Amino acid sequence: MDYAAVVGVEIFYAVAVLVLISAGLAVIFGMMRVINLAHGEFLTLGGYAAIVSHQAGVNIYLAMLVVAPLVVAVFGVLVERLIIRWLYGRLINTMLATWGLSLAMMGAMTMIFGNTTTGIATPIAGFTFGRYQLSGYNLFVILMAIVVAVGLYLALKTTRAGLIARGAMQNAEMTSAFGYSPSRVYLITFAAGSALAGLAGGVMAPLVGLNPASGANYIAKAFITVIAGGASVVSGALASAGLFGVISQTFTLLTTPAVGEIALLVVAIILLRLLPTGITGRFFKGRV
Amino acid sequence: MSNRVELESRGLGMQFGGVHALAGVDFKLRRQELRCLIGPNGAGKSTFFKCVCGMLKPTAGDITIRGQRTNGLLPHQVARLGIGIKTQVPSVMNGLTVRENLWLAARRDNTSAVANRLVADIMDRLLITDLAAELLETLAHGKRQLVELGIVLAGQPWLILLDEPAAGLTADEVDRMIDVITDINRESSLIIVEHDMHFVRRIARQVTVFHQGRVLIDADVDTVMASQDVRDVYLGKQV
Amino acid sequence: MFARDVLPALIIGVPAMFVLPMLFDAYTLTVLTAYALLALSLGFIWGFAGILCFGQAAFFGLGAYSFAIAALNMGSAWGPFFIAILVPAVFAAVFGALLFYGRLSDVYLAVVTLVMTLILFKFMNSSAGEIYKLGDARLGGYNGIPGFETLTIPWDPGEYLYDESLFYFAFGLLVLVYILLRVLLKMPFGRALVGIRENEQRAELMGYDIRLMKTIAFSIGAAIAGLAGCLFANWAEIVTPALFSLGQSAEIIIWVIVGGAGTLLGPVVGAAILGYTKFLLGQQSLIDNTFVLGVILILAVLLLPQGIFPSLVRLWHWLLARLPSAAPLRRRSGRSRRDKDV
Repeated sequence: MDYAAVVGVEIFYAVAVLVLISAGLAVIFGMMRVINLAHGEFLTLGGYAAIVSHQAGVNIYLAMLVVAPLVVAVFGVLVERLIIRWLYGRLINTMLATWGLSLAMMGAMTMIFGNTTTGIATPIAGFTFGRYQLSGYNLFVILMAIVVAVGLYLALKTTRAGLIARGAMQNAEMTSAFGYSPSRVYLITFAAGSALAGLAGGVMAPLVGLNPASGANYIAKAFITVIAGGASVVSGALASAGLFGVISQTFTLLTTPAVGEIALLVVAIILLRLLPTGITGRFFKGRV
Repeated sequence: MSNRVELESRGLGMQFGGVHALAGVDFKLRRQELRCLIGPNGAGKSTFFKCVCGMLKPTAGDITIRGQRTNGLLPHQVARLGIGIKTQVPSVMNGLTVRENLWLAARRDNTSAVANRLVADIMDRLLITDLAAELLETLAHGKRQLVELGIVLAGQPWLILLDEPAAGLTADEVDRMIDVITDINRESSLIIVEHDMHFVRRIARQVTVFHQGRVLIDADVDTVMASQDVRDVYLGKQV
Repeated sequence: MFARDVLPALIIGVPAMFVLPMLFDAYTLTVLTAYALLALSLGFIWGFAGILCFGQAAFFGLGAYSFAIAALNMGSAWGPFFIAILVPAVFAAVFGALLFYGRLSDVYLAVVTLVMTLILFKFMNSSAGEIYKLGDARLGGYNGIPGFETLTIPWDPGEYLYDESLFYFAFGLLVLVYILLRVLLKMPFGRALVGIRENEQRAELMGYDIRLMKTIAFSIGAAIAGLAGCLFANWAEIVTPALFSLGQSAEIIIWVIVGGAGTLLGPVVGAAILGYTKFLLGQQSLIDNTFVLGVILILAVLLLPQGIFPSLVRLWHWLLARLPSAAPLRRRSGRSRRDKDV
């Protein structure tokens, strides 16, 4: 019984991690048709922002939940203005340019932080559950994933900004006819997606040893979760995160983490082959 | 033998979600016929066209071409039966020259020598020999329409489907197009989807009118033009 | 065909083969040649068949690993040489059929090929245990496979191909593959491939089976990448999972973009120049190599969507056209193949 509960938490945790690390990418892909291949490095940047600011004396929660998203959002604004905006509508070119960005960021972070692994301690102690040890921080991650998913859903569904954003994705001309500048909507959307990536990077920072190449560990999973989820930002990401989280965690528990990850990727390829438009379909732009 | 049925559809249906784009089309085309398909927007002409050439898989009914059931075949398989298709928006290879475009169509079924001869003949026939070395992307719309027709002919089809061949052409170009079509019809059967009633009146003998995914009337051009039902359909009345 | 396609390649290629080792050391030249071959493989499938593979490194790595594993098991190297070409080709044929018969769009193709590379990378990285063994070859996880037999001179099995002789062999293969691709592109199959790149729908309506043709082209590209991997394995005398890495895949794409997709020579030149730049950068520690590569890729996409090589050709034409007596020139090459989506 205890074991079942522990396994349950582990699976929830795996799903939560996928939701967290893919939320930013999902917003940018779902709303802007832009696949940001530098997403992994955005997360890493968030992680560094959290670690560096914490080491400089900032409260850890403040560092993870405020500083990290803010830093990455500002960086996202720069990226959108300097690179992405020139390539709207050209999906392949955006992928290539952001791939370049990914390499450049990886290189830049290596130059700044060195090719070493850093980390911070988890701020929440573990506790025992029956005969098993449970990580309190994992529960925090699950909580954060729920907050992000619900927050995103409400923001898109109920706020004026969310409505404008969804409108701009459906029909940019119409939106500009109503007096909203699509260029600004894109900028803000990209910044929001970046902030979510920064948040995920910050929250994940205590769990992983961070190094400049860490992004590669995230990007495949985030990428696959979003693409397989399809265009519906929240429900798509939740559906595929759920599926992939369960699969990878099951295989991880049965065999090794490496096999778990490989199983996730194989299932993703099969899924894409069967449902080339993702779980929620590809042509419903801007749906929540 | 000239009245043998070469293409036939029975109860052809195509459903997109809840919308019936085709709701049971019965259609027969005889050998060497020139048939025009007309009808208001959304009547199902283009859907019918796409079902015949394999771009859409019908959700009900059957299509038979020269006795072979073809629904479910892919476009290249339909094309290999000897059917040439000209799409609504000219579908050509923009980065290649006129000659290369025609050659690719001619070469699929022939040796290079035969293909070269065929391409030269067709360019002569369509009076586009002087454009042979031009890239398609540099040509004006009318020329592109003509080149696409050339591509279709280069495949030596016995049945040709043309989707709005007169769209966007100048008056002179329309005259040329009519000459070419009349010429083609000496050897091949033709189905022409067209919007432009003037054009239809000039070339058509037998006309099929589509309305709301069904065949409204199937008769010779004069009967169709005189029909009150057809007028009502075009004016938007319910029939 | 001979005068226009084969002869120029020989006229430039053969002297280059003997002049280059006088200017640079053969060791560096060999690996640059392997890279050039790898770039050629992607240049072919992307530039001429319109297949953008984000995971060409997978076939490179598969070729190298197949060679190493076969060489350890067979104890000789010429059989493995062919196996290294065959394995990636067959793998690509099966994988390609899965994708092309499923009609995945180019974006999804990019994603799926990328993921495929990651799977191989992860698998090879985690294959350290005793159970990961193919015959006598242990996959060795992160450390890779060292100590396999390398190529020898066919008529003199005691004499290994290394340094200069390995370079001549590799460069000879590069020229050969280049010529074969040029000839292929002049044949009906090659022309039809270009037709598919230009307009899939029209190619289909002409009666070409684009699924089959793309699968074949994909497989040819993989065979060439496998050959490059085999040469790399002979050069490095070790194979490691880094061959499958995302960075490696990115590098191949950068070579092709900078050199210019849509030409065969462009990617070769791109690989040689950037490969050498990387080698020079590797000798200093001030600027990170990856950083430079990334910046080059961003700039290439933003500023030179047609690649440096075609851009230079166009500049040349532009200059010619401005000379008083110049005949009018028709733009023929250098259209971007990347902007067709959306």
